[in-house]
Amino acid sequence: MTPSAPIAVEADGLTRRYGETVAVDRVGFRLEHGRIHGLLGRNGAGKTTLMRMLTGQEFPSSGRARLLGGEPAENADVLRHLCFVKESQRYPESFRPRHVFRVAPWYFENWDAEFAGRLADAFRLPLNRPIKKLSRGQLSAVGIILGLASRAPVTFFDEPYLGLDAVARQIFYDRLLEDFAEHPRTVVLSTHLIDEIAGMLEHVLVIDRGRILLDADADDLRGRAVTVVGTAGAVDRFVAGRETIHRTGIGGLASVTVTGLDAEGRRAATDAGLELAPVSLQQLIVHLTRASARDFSEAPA
Amino acid sequence: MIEEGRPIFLQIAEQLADDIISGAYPEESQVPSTNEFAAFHRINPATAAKGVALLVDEGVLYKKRGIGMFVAAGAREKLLAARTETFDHDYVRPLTREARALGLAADDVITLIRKDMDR
Amino acid sequence: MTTVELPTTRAIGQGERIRRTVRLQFANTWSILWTPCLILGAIFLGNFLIWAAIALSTGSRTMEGTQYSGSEFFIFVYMMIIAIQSTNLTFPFALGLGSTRRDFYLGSLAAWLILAVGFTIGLTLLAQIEVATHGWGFGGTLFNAVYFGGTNPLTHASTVFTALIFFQAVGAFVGAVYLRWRQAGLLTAGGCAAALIVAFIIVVDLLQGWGGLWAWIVDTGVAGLTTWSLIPTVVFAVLGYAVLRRATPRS
Repeated sequence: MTPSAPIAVEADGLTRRYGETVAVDRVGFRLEHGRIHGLLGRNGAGKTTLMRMLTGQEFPSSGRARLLGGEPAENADVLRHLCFVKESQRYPESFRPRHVFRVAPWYFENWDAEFAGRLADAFRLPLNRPIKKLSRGQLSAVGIILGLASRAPVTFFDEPYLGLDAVARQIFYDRLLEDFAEHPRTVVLSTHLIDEIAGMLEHVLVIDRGRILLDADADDLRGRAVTVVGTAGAVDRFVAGRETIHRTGIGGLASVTVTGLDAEGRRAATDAGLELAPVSLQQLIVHLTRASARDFSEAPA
Repeated sequence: MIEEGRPIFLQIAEQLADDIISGAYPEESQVPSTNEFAAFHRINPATAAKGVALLVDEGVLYKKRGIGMFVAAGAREKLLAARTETFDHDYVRPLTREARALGLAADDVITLIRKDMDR
Repeated sequence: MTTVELPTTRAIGQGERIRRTVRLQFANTWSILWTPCLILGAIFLGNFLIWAAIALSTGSRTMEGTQYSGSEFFIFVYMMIIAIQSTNLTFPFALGLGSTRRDFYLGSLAAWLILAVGFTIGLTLLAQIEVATHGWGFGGTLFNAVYFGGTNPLTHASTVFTALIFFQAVGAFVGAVYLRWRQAGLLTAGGCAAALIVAFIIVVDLLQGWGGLWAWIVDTGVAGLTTWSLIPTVVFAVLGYAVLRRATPRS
């Protein structure tokens, strides 16, 4: 077991209430520095509110957030090392992308203008068009370029890909990974498109209805569940006494997802004539949150 | 190439092992860096590093300071030995299971095997 | 569990953080500088044409009745609008970049102060030119409206400046209220203001103080009044910060 890295982001009993609604409910976790963390969950689960509290944009109702050892709200010493990219970022009237990139180095000491330029090319972003006139995807590209070229030690991306097509999203993921390899930093990425980024994540936080449902190492999660498929009778016999998280079937066939199946268990399954199908991270999270699969499908263009 | 449902770092290690066994990476040759693996498979560099570290632990790869990762001497033998151990479960069992399902006798199966291996 | 060790770079002091907010506000040079200048120019041109028309038709080059032009007043109101708008539009962006609310507020105040100084110098100069050219050759008055009582440049300048920052402070406060409580906040603030005015009127009525009030106003004069306005200016500026401290960018 590798020794744990220092902690970049921490939440402790973090809560946010809006009147009667509890958007974030006593959330606690620790994020190690230098890793890519995924904040996964349905729309409306509390991801954005949580991120806003972690970045000082929103004040907690109770509990504490810590960023690089200090509370983020109104804390210039800590905020200078942070870049928060949100899908709904508003820019000042009459700004154009080149204005945004001109202002960026004032706030981000590691800003790489040349990198920003290359990214603008990759995303085909017109630097001189007024931001008001940019398409949704181009607007997202501005935020993404800010997030990547800032090289801030802690970078948050809150569903930054709104309006980006699949090709552009892949450009984002590729550039993120590439730059992350050269310049390690803490990245927290929230998304409901889990499968697209599953390979990039090292650590996964799943939030549902304001509560942390899952806080685990990505690779651990990946082996955690497997789907056993076969005739209903054989499957039922096999999964009896095991922890199951999902069940489906058609006719005489059954497909049951179990957790905690070790190598010996797998052999027993194949010996019994059952087939083992892999469970993707997205499916696992879907089953675990008992959410309807609809919410995790392709983002609207 | 990266499968669902299994830890990625294991898959990286396995793919590298496959390539070493097949001779794509002969002994004492250099293997790609973890960043190259990460970029190629679109995975986290740390995950790629974990997979490489696994092979280093098993004595299959070693690190040359400042240059990169190299295939150790005797790596192929080590891997072959490990593979042979799981050959029975990973390949023979599915074969025999399918043979039984089709109603083939052991001798029929052996004849098919001989034919294919002599090819 | 240790905290992260980041490579230590030079610390960014409060002064520099305020400076960058000033630069950020001025990045919108069009809306906070050129547009008001343009509109002022247009107003001047409009007035000028009217004076010329009157002069040509009446043959007279001195006009008595034109000393009450209120068009210059536009600049003051526009200062308030600038303060409201730039607060509203730049706040989410500044916070998105990692600024604190405090640095944003102080920096914005500094930016508007600079703007006020600039406009004061400009308007005072224009007023002096107006006097020197006897009303732009047509006896017109735009920059020396009777409110400014007297042509002493220093008094003129300080009156203009004080009035400008008063409106900026009001704008800062209104902008902050809108950011924090949106329309509901504006309505409440407006309602409170109306209530206060009504209460004031009632009190003065009860005390039969209208005569005394008008006398005092005339006595103090425009310059005096604007000096007194420093108090509400400071109050609005402070209240604005108190409101903005806990405001949250909607996006």
